[in-house]
Amino acid sequence: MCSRPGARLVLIVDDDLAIREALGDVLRDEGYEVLIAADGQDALDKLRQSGEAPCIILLDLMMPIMTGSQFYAEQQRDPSLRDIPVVVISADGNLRQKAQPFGGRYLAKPVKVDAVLNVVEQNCA
Amino acid sequence: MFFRDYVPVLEVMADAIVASDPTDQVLYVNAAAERLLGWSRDELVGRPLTSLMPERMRPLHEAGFHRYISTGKTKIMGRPVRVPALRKDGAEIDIELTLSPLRLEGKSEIILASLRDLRDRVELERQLVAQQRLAAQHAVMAVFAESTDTLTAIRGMLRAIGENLNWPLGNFWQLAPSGRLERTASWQSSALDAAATAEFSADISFAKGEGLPGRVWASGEAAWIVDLAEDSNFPRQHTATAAKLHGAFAFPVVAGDSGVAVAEFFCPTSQAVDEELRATAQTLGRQIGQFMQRIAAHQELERAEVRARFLADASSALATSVDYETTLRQVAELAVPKVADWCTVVALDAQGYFRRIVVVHRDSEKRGAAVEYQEAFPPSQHRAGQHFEVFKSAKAVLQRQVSDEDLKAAAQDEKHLRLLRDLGCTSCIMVPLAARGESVGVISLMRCGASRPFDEADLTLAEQLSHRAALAIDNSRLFASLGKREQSTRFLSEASAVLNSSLDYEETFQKLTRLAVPRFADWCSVEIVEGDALRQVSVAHVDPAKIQFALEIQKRYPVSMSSPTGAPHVIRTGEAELYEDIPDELLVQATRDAEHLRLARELGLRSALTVPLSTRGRTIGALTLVWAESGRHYAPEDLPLMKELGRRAALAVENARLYSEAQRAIQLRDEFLSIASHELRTPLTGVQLQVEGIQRLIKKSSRTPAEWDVIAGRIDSVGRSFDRLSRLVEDLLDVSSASAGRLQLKLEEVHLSEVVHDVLSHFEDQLSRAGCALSLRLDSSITGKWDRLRLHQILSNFLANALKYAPGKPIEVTARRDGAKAVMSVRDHGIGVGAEDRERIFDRFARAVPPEHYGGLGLGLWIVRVFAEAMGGTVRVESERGDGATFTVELPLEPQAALSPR
Repeated sequence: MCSRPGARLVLIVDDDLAIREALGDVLRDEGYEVLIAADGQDALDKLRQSGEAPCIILLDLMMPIMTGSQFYAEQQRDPSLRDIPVVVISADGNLRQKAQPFGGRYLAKPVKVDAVLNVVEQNCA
Repeated sequence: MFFRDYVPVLEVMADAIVASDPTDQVLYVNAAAERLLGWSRDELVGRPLTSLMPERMRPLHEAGFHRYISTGKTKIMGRPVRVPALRKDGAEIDIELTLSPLRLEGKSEIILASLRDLRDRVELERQLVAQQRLAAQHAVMAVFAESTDTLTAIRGMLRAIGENLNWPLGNFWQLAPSGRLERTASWQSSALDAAATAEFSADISFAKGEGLPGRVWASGEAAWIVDLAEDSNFPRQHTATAAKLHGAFAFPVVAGDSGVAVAEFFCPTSQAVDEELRATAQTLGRQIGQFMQRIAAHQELERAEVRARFLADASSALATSVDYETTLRQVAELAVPKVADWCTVVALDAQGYFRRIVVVHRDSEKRGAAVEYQEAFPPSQHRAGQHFEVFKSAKAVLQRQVSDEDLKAAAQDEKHLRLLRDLGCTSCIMVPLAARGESVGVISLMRCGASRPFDEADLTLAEQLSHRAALAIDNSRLFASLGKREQSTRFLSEASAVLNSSLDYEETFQKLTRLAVPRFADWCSVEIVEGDALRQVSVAHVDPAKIQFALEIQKRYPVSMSSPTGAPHVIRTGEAELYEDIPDELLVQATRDAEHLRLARELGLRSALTVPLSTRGRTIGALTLVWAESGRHYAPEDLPLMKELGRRAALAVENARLYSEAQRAIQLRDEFLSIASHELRTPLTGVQLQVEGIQRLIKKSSRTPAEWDVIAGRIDSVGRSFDRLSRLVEDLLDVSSASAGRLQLKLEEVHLSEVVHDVLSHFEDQLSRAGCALSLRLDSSITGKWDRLRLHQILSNFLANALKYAPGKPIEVTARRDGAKAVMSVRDHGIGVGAEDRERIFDRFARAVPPEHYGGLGLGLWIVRVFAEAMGGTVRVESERGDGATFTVELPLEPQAALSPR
């Protein structure tokens, strides 16, 4: 299996191109490898195609085709994926509550770069 | 033996002895006879015996004598008889005569007459009889003196005469309305065989001149019958014989103008005419007549007094009664037993039905029957029968005599008849109860059994009673209308409560229409204008099946907005419509075809009222109330209440509409804010990440040419703008979540000084740029359980305001502990806040300044208040216009404890 602790691969799932790119740029600047998906289905496909498991998934909630929630449900059903930590990044006004089913880890948009780097660092040491 | 052999014996006898021979001549008289008759023996012997008798007796004697001589038969031989004798001086004396034949050997018969002088005895007897008559007269007088009613007096009189004069049977006859003498009283001695006399004088009446009473009536004189068996004008002969009655006398009783009466007495033996008794009886008759008149007058007086007292009682009792039914009940209870033996009152109830309000009977044993009568036989609702006649004509009816036939005619069935018979009715008065010229009921007064039948005076009394009761009813109606007014007020207040209880106007109208039924209507509906059409939003009736029926009719025949009557008309004109009555023509006019008419008739509408639902000159619908099966009617005085109801209903609808529009607006805004925040944040996030990323790259860059510094400065500027934009977006999000009730706190242990320093460092740049000198007084040891971010925002908003309204002026920030509270304030020296704005500025979108000078959404202080209150704290401002302002927030150190319920 491809899960390897310490691997510096981050999966970004967001339907907004600007955010995907900005997050990707910042993380790459810090030396991370980045996997990018535009929705939940895309994310599942990328995960399954990838030979390596990311150390963290930064997940948007409101997305076309497959929402963050649906994605999370699928991920939890897949034993090979269920151990990858998920942090929700959303602009939802009620994020604290919405993030509960995902283990309660979230970052509210707009999000500070430092906050993103912190959470990524904690999971991808 | 020869006659002379007897003489010595006869000579010494105390009785007078007169002997006569077969030629009826005196043969011998003894000494006693000489003394008794005043003749000497020599003078009498040889004279005819008849010379010793009064003239009138002689033919009788001769007839008897000849019969005896020729046939040997005799009526009086051997039997003492009382006869008059004629003395020599011509005087008549009463003697007891006993005749006995004396047969001598070979000789013809001699008759011995023994004469006993009765003069003393007759005198005694005369005196006795006179005494008896006197006693009888006294007794009669006593009877009349003691009696208070004529009938008792007459019975007493018959007994007084009968007992004292020894005539053991007496009858009293009075002229009846039939024009004949009818027996009204009788008496007989217990010595008579009641069975034998039972038939005598029963079921008979006499015309003038007919029989003994008729004879007395015709002549006006007392009459005497020696022996009924031999009287030619005595129709009762047959029963008299059976009763073994022979002698009789009768006398007229003349009671002034009021009519003829005759008293008659009978005796088992034939009675010789007693002129003295006849004369006495004649006198007695006049006296009795006078007595009777006096008693009648007295009775009349007493009755008048009873009436006057009764009416006085009635007036005072009725004056205090307040409700209709109690009043009528009192009338009945007053009438029984003073005026009637029993009484019923029938009256129209509020629904217009006849109802027997009360049945009162004087006889407590009849109470059960009275109750049964009241309950089992309500007055006919078909408006037939006598009580309805009286009700309709408003004219009293006096039925002096009520026969069993009458009862049969009045009874609805066998049970009814049985009850009527049980309660008893021999005389009856029915008077209408009328208040203000309008019939409201009927009082029926009944007498039964031995009670005197009603007469005109009773009718007058009953009418007076009814008149007084009518006044009382009028009063109680006034009370009732007062009560109704109170009821109306209560209804209005209940209706208002209902109208204001809900902001959903359909629900409101459903409640309202249900509230009106059945107190104010049988039907109640509300129609509302929607666009160009009319929609019935509610219809109420006690019977759901009827509602269904009405809805079916409406479905088939929808009301046209252009209808010239009813709700559409009322809505068009804004004027109420009242139909006190709904005549059939109105239905014909208002319906579209025969089927429609048939269905409308089936509803049985009686009266209707439609009022507009108007507010601020706009009519939004109509409220319709209908009386149907209860038979009631609306009157003009009902209009004000219902118009008021319509006004209030319309106002409530308007309020509800405004409220729901406002609610909708708020909801839309919150939705917009929520979406807007989300949509704004997404690009913000992109910008922020890129700006920060660029900054990081610049810092990391090993090369530091002057250009980089310029670029870094510009990017910092972008970052500041970005911060402001970001805070605005956050404010919007906070507003929408707080107003949607979704504000959630993340309470944690917070050092207040940390937060203050954090915020101040964040504002450092802006403060210096704005030229605001900051002084800080901070109690460094304050810790509490707060939401760090919200606390951050409270102070940020205070500072942002100070920067905005007081640029270039010093700002003082203080934070201290006050007991279980932390008190944090920001003082500026800007334009200040006027007294009129101090409360308002903490409201949503409130701004104390004109927007053309100061921007902003007007949310900052409101957010401060929401957050502070969410953490159990308060915010306030102290300020004077032009003299700066101090904004203070007080937060409990343990908000959970402060917030949790006690």
